[in-house]
Formats: sequence, C-alpha cells, structure tokens
Amino acid sequence: MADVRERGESIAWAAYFLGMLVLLTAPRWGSAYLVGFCVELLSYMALVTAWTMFSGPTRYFSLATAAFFGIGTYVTVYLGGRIPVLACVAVAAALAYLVASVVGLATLRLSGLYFVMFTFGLSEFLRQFVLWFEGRLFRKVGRIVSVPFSDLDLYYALWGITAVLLLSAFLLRRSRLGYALRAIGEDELAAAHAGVNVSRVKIGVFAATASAMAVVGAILAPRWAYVLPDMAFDPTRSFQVVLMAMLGGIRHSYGPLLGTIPLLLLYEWLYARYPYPFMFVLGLLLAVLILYAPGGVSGMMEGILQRAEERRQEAMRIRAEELGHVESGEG
Amino acid sequence: MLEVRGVSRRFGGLEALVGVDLVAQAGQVVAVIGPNGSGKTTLLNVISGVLTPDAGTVRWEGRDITGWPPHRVAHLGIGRTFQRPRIMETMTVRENIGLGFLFRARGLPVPQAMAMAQEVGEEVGLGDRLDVPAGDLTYIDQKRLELARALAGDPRLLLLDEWLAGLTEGELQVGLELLRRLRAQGKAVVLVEHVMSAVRAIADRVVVLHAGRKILEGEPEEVLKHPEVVATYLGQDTGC
Repeated sequence: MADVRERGESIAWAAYFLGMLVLLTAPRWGSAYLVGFCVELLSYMALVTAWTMFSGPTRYFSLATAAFFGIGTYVTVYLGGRIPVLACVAVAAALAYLVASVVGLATLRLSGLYFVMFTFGLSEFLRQFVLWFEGRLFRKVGRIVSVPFSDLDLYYALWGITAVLLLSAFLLRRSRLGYALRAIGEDELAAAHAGVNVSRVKIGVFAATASAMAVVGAILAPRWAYVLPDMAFDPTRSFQVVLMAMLGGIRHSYGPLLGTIPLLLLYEWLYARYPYPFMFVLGLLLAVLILYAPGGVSGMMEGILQRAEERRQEAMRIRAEELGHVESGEG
Repeated sequence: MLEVRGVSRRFGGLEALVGVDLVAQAGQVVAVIGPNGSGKTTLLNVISGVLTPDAGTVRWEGRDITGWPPHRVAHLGIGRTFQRPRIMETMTVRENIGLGFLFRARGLPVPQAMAMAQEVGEEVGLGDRLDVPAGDLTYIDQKRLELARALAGDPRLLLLDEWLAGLTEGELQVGLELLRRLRAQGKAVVLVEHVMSAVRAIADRVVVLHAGRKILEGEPEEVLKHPEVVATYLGQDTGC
C-alpha cells in the first residue's frame, strides 16, 4: 500500500516539476491568450499549494485565502510606484504574516466549522473595511493601479513564488514539520503529548502560507488596471481554492494540484458562456465530490493503482502455485 | 521523582480532585485505583499538562511544572497513554512511533527517527506490522502502539491510563512483563488501572481515589484487602 502511494506521489511530483519547466518557457512560444491562462494557472497553483500546506494535513479548512490575497493586492495598490515591487512583495508578506498570526492566536483553538466561519468572516471584514476606509478617507471606491512592472516581470515573479511553494510543499511531506502538521490533523492532544508544540506549528504554518498568498496578490495587482475591494477580496477565490484542492484530493500532498487545471479550464469555459449559473455549478460540484469522491482525483488514482497492484500480486501468486503443482507433479 | 502535592481541580460544581498527593520514585510502579468518576484520569491530565489545577503543585525532578503545556511536559521525559488509544490512524505504525523520536526533547532527524522506530516497535511486539496503517491495528495493538510512541520519547516517567484493560490473560502477562522491564530500567510508572490482579502483580504502591479524594495509600496487599476498598470500590470480585 505504501509502495503504491509513494509511486503515485513520485509520478505526480515529477510531472509537476516538468510542468513548471514548460510554464517557464511559455512566454517565449505561447500566444497572448495562452500566457494569460498560464498566469491564472500559476496563481491558482500557488494559492492551492499554499492552502494545502496548512489546511491539507491539519484539516483546518481556511476560507481566508481571499483575505490574504487581498491584503497583498492592496499593499501593491497603495505602495506600488512609491517603492520597488519587490519591497511591496516583502511588505505584503510581512503584513499577512502579522494578520494571520493574530487571527491564528485567536482562532486556531476553534475547531472545525467555527474556524471555517471565522476565516470566511475575516475576508468579508477586510473587504468591508477597505470599502469603508476608501470611501471615508479618500471618497473613492476603486483605484487605478500604476506600477512599473511589465507583463513579463509579473509572469516570472509569479512563476518564482509558485516554484518556491511547490518545492516547499515537496520538501514538507517528509520533514519534521510535515509530520507535526499531519499529527496535529490526526489528534492534537496526542501530538502535543508526543512533544509537538501544537500552537506554534499551527500558527507558524498558517501565517507563513498566508504570506505566500499575499505575495501572489501583490504580484498580480499590476495586472489589474483598476482594483475594487470586491475584486481583491472576492470570496469566490477562497471557495475555488478549496474546490480545486478537494477535486484533486487532500489526502495526498500531490493531490490538490491535480484539481487545479481541470477546474480552471471549466472555469474559463463556464464563466465565458454562463456567468450566472457558474456558482451554482461550482456548488453542485463540491457537493458531488464530498458525497461520492471524498478522496478526489488522487484518491481515485490511488484506488486504481492499488487494484492493479493487487491483481499483479494475485497473478504472481497463481503462477507460483501453478509452478508448485508442476514441480510436485514431476517430483 | 514525581511529586504531586495538594492538587485540586473543579469542573463547574463538580470537585474532580480535592487536595490529592501522589509520589512516584524512579523504578517504582504506583497504581491509582478507584471507581469510575473518582478523578483518576483527571489526575493524569493535571500531571501531563492537559489541565491546570485550581490548587496544588506538580513537581518533576525537583522542578515545578504545574500548568506547563503537554509538549513541554513531554520534553521533560514524561510519556503518556490514554484510556481510549489516541493514535494517528492514517500514519503507519513506524510513523506513529517515529513521532516520539522526532519531537522528544532532542528530536532526531526523520530518517533516524523512522529507523529507531523499528527497534521500539519490536520491543512492544509490533515488529511485523511496522508499515501497516495504524488504523488497521486491533484495539490491543493500538494500545501497544501508543506505549511505543511514548517510549520513543525516552520517558523517565510513564503515565498509563488503563493500559492493561481489555487484555486476555496471555496478553496481560506479556504486558506485565513489559512493565517490569521498564521498571527495571529505572522508569517511574503511574498506572491508572481497574484490573486488580495486575495491580497486585506489579504495583509497588497503590493509591485509592474516591470522589476526587485520596482515601488510602499503601502496599498493594494491604490496600486491596482493606475492607473499605473491598466493599465499596471493588465489590466482591477483587481477584479479577
């Protein structure tokens, strides 16, 4: 069983790293539309990977992706043009780390549904706060983004953060921290008695992944000519990340990314044609997944590999028996 | 040496522990007995850091550890098992045991931790199931696994909550033999237990709790024969 799982994992990770190399070269040969799609793909790969690093093993389902992404976006909106983009990215990461640490301290004692609701509330609170703040102080709703950051710079910066996140997720699997997160997800009390500093691990990883989400938001901001709080803190983004992860399957480290490409393609197709029933379809998909395929694509893949392995072993056993009969017949 | 002095803990109107004392020396097995709800598990929870007592102190090797969080208590060499085994079901047996090595005071790197897990797994009789998901183990094997994880933390004190309950006679003897070995290694053991034959066989001292209060303490033979213990807490079936 462990062998099958490891084989599936190795194949998937090898494919991801290969895919990243292809994505690195995409601006050289791809059409403008394709490169635009790759930007979407990279940003969701980064968000899903960051989300999964914390929420996958610990099973604390966060809906705060939009909150941290939005923080990043608004850091670039406010500071872009005044300080270098890299500095914007650093400020975004630091601010999200701070917010996530405070939120983590207050909420990571909450379990299950309460944590989900709180994280969703955080995104909504920030959206409303920025709306109020902009309206009250500047009499504005949205802002024009003018940052000296070319499309190509943006692409490579996004590729960079995605690559860093993928590598981190890959290394996390078999690391001490990875085991600590998994142990927390299984049984916090037992993990603490084994010596895991549960609060520090939870808050630290939640905050670090929140930083990564903010970095994605900060890098993507120049792509938008005009930013509204409703766009930066769009709750759909949080739901989509969860949906992608669930579609891929969160039982395996490699699973969530398997859901990113199909869902993004579905998103492109559906959103262009049927913008209104779009959310309905996403909701339906989530319900079907939870009911019929809780392991997601990776869970189904493992099932197939497992059955193939069992068939192979059964065939070997039968063959060995047949050989045994022949030998005993001869003897 | 573990030294619990005057520990009290209340849950709303319920006095779960009232001024309880307990001492466990290195190389000593102290059994804590008493009817359900007498505060045995609460006492272990106070020692291992799950609960902070309302009054009283817990000292370990001369240090006041009252109210320390469980991971810090674990780092001091205090291991724990639970009444209902708390294992990591989707991890393999090896990984479960490895957690103890990974997160003890001077935690080992992953490859060494997983290699060392084999040795401890064999010690508790799980050597042939190291790569099985822990959720697939029988109840008894899960208890063994929990002890193995605690042992991987290199404890000098073990808090075992009904670790011998539900074992067959043969398994009980194996379990007792394991506890004797641990005692011989100089570990202190606090054993919350209902199996009186096991208490008689292994305990150096017995503490009796009733409604959160310590009502008796002494040698097993003398405590278990005490009329109050026989009549009130253990019924007629003291030889079970």
